[in-house]
Amino acid sequence: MEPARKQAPSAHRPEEAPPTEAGVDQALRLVARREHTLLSLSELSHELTISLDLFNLADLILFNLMGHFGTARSALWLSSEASANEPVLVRCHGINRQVARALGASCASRIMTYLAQGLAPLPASGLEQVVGSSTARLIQRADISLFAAIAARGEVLGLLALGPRVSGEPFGTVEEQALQASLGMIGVTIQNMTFYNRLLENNRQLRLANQNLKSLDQLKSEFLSNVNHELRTPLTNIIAYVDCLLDQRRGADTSSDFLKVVMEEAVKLQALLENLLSFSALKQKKLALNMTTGNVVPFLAAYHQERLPGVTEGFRELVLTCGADLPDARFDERRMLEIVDALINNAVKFTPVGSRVELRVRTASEDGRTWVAVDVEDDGPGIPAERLPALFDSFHQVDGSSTRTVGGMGIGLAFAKQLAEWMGGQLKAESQIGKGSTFTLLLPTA
Amino acid sequence: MLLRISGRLDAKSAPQLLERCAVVRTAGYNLILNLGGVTFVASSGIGALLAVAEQFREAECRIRFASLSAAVESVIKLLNLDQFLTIDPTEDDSLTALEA
Repeated sequence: MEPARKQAPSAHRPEEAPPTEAGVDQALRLVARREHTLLSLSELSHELTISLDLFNLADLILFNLMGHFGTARSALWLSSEASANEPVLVRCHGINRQVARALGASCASRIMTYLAQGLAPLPASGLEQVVGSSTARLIQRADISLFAAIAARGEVLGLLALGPRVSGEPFGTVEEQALQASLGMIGVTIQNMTFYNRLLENNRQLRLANQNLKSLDQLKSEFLSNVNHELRTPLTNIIAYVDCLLDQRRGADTSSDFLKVVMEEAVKLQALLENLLSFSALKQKKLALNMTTGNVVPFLAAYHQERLPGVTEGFRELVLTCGADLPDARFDERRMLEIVDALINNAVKFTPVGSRVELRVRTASEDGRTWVAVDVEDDGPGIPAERLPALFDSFHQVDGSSTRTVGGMGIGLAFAKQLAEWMGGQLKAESQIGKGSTFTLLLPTA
Repeated sequence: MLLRISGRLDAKSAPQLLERCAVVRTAGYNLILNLGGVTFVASSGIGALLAVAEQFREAECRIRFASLSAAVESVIKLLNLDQFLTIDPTEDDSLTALEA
């Protein structure tokens, strides 16, 4: 008997319909979309390593997500230590800034707490019960389609909002998975960046403290050396003349002259001891300028790089803008940077988190002269007009206290003005309530 | 106002693009963005184009995208962004549309 012939396997398969042109197009499109998703994720992982500036990084993150999902609206809020209950609006695109700030104040914290339970992105339409109807209307006005938590190692760091996709397509399962993958990378990067910036700022402060201690130590050595010499001379004289008085061989007629010398030297000693109490005044006399002529930009650029982590870590933006064709200036590098540091410290101290501080160098014409102007401009609450004229004076009182230290560790506005004038420059302030303040250091040109 | 973009449109160049466009928008001009010279566009680049378009819309200024390179056109079509971005085949077409 002839064994049964094996039939070709294909003969048993049900007839498959040949793929249609539309089907092929759809499949190709799906593949292209997946490729776009992979490329977007790959780009994001690279972009997250580009910058240590939080605000710059936020732009890159939002642009990537907007381009990845095809939406024209996005916003990013982050929690800061200074405002734990009101996340700071770091960046928004396509959403009105005032509306985004209002959302940060009214509901971002509650949404973050709600999202912390599952950490999955949530459609904005389902949040009315969490945020209330008035805030839900605000979300609707901002045209936000979904919210997602930015988290790392179990800690919710912030909130992301994305608008609807401009194609009108919904955020499907693939998009949500891709978004969660992006959020994971973003969360870890932001947390690492915060730690790193904090570390850099702590190092900077330690270095400044160390420099200050070294200069104080040197001052102390010089001071003790001077005091030692000054105290020794009158003491030697006192001892010598008292020794003579005790010498029985000398006549009584000279004793009153000797006592007069002893008295004079004792008075000198008393004056020296009083000077000990004016130690801070003595320190000021030690200030000497080391004037140089040149371009201020390299010094300010280096300062900006060094200061950026600390300012960013406090959730404020620090931007350096340099004008073209700047003339050379006459300045003392150390003193100029002390003034700029005092102005930046001032801006950071008196502006809320999320503020922008711009360090700007430009050419200025004032009083019929050309100057190199270094502006420190903030968008904080501003200073009342009536306080402006006395701004430097009032700080002078604070500055005159025994707690002020000279150099490096924050010198106060009054001392900054004094330093500016010692360098032949000027320090000015302008401010508008609700718009911010600008402090300008004018340096003479060469 | 006409801006011609060339090279890579990615995370590095996107902030620069926004900065240049902001100057035009703040001055109250309409803008033609010629993307003919763009050799590569990353997601960040697309995000920046969408952000710029939305900023012009909010400021009630007009923006038109002209002469899309193949690199830009393929991504815009893939994400169906052509309904949102106003795209013309050439600069002249954009100019005519803005003058109309």
